[in-house]
Amino acid sequence: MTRVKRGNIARKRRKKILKLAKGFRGTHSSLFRTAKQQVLKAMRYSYVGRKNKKRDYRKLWITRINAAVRIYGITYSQLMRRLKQSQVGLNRKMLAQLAVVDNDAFQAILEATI
Amino acid sequence: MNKTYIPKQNIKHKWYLINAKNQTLGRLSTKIATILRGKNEVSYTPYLTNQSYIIIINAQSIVLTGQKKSQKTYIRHSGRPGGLKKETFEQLQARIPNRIIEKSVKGMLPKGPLGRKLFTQIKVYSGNEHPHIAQSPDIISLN
Repeated sequence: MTRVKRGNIARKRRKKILKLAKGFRGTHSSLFRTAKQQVLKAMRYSYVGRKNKKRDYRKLWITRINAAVRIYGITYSQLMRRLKQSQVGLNRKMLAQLAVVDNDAFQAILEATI
Repeated sequence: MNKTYIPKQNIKHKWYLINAKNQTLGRLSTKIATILRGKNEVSYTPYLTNQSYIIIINAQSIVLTGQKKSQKTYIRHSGRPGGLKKETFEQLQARIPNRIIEKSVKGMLPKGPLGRKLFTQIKVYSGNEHPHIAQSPDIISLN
């Protein structure tokens, strides 16, 4: 068999992982073997986090809408019922944004659905 | 406009005054915890504090329904064998009346660094006076 050197393939593989480990503390960003463990952990967490992010934001919007609506004496659930009955298709993100940024528009929506 | 509104931590403190005279313990504590957490504000953000300080006066006159005055027990353990200590509501109210409301509200706040910080924002006084007149608190009237 002819002699084959591996060349720089191993270095490229390790550099790919080390690039993902930028900003990690201590040797987790400089040594390949520890960095690889932390990178795998980080990718696992980010996968889960991407799915949790959608849930967390919806929770936040619902809490904010609840707070905004209770000033007028109704609850979040009653508001949702009214919106469904009046066929207002606004989603919770927009409702929460309106309640914070443009309160007059939010009030107008409330009055239109009673 | 299309991104969810994220407020900055506001520096202004708001002070509120609540009279606990003849209020039911748990029902009062939920309202206190809600205001502390900031859940009544439209700009609620889970990792920021509302910067609202709540003064509670007349903690001595808090009320419980039913037989709880003589039957509700507060239990703690000193860590040593045989160190279980029990106290009824009446005994604790005679000894340290502020602790009743503090314990009740603390159980309703989130557990963690932010919850502990929120707990420092309530000031409980058993009598009718409080030393925070300079903060001119807004009075919250319940029911």
